[in-house]
Amino acid sequence: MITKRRSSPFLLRGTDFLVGMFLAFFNLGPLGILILLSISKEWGTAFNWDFTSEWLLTVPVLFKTSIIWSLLFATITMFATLIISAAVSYGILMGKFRGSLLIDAIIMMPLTISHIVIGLALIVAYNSPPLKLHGTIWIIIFGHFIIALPLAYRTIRAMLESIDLSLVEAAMSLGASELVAFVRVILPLAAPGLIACSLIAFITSLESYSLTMMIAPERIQTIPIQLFHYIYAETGAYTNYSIAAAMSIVMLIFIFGLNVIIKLITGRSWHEKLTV
Amino acid sequence: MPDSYLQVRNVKKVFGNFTALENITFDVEKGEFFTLLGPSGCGKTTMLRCIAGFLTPEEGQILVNGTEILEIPPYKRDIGFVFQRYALFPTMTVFKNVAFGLEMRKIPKDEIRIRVNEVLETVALQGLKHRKIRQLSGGQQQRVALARAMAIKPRLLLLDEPLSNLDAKLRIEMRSEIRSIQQELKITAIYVTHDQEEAFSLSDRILILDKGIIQQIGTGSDTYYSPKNEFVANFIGKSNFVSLQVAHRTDDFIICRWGESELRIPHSEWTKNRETVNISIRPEHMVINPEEREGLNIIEGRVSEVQFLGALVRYFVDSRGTIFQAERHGMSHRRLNEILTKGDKVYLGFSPEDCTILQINEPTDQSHRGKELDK
Repeated sequence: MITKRRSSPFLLRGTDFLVGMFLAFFNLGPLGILILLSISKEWGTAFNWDFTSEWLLTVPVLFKTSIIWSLLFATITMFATLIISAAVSYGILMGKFRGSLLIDAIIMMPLTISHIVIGLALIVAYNSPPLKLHGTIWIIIFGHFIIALPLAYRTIRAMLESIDLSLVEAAMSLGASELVAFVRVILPLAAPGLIACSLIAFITSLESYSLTMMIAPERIQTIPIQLFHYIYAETGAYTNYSIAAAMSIVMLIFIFGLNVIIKLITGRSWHEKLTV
Repeated sequence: MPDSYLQVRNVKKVFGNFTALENITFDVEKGEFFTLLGPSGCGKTTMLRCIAGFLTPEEGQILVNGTEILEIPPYKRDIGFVFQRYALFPTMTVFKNVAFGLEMRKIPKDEIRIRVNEVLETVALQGLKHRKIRQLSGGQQQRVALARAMAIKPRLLLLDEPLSNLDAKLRIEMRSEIRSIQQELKITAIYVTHDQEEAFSLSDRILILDKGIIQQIGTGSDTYYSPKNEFVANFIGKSNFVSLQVAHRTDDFIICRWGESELRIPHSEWTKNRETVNISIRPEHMVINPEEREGLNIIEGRVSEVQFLGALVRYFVDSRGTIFQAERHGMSHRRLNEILTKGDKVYLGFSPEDCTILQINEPTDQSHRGKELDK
């Protein structure tokens, strides 16, 4: 067998160079433009070196209510999906449900449907009693839950599949009820998966545009919806790309920071648990 | 007679169309080391899991100390379980693992410390109590699993092939360790294994299971020297099986023909009215000789294969189309040239008292099946 060896980490070989260029153009390129947009005073046909922090500072004020709504929906979605997907995947893996394939299919189905169509279906389904959710914030919570669940469920299920579930039986033989066994033995092991899952659910809710746009009542604006008003508006309305870019940068920093904090808190114990 | 400590009565367990256990009834006395022995898939682990409460049998009763336990959830049964893959809690230290059961029982912390230290001492793991599980070797993990199950002072200790993941040498060491701990603490233990040597060296009594049906219950020597049927005779050690037609009966023996020679088989209740006798003879009871000698039960044949296995030499001898196995133990180094070779003409002999009459139940089974089809 031939072992590949790098002569130096600084010397780029052909493929490295290509991958690097690709990432720079398609991934970092737009991001760079966003950063420039968010700090440029004016964005005309010619680029001018005139920077300002105005946009970044006004954004939290401008977006105050939508930030609160967005964080509220994201947090609720996160906890709801976390609990449901942990319970369902644990139940399925322990063989507690009969139609596990059907449950699986129902949870995963929204992945294949366009969010706009999901939104439409939600409106039509819950537009009249007995369950009239249209026009309330509940329809947003349910909508976000539906689209975040398949993603969170898959992450948690993969995590639980890698854990030896006879640990539950071991704990039970020692006198722990199944719930205690799950909390004391399985949860600490599944922590990395659960955190990854909650981040995914949180972000899915935070970023949802097309679904939220369909189902949200007039009075409620989330960040993506308000963002869109600054990008595309009917003639005569106020558009400002810099504000949109600034808000995106704020969100990016927020999510990135969240990730870093979680990793700092759990980092060491994760590493230990994963090298069992 | 007082009731036994553990009573299993007519237990039946079904998975879909597959009957894993059928009409299982046995007793285990207090302080006994009882082993469920059988090939993989015979239902022995299923039986153990029914006692532990991880599975619920469709029919039957299980009583511990006179109390029915099937209605009690597993975490209230007070039954220790040692798993094949140990199932130790990877996020906890050795100490925490062993203390887990005591914490669940809400025992004060000081007492937990004392009891965990005691148990760790019994399994010689005192020095490792602050280690994480992944820092332990297989043998050490095995001991933690044992200590954890014993710390709660269970009414019953169940062990599910606990040594199968260890290497051969460690397995033998741990075997005697488990036995001596069990004797010392007078625990009632039920052990599951497919390894007959393990079963023999550990157990007071053995239950041999095949296809979910009890084949025989008895001590190691019972099952070895008086196997009840062909399965037991074959599964416990090796055996030669012959089916013989009865020629005539004398006062002392049943006389059967094997080619030109006469074979004498002892009488038994089973053979009284039967024309066919099924017998088994252990290879070590077969005497192999290159020359014909005077004696009873001599079979003529040719060596078809020779296996030199160190402590013994095993011969396969073809006589009238049937292969017999004969073993020769304790060969002296100087007499190695006496080892026979393939194709040699030999005479096999066995004493009538060394052959076991087997009970073959097939005819009744078939008649039963026939009736079912007729309907």
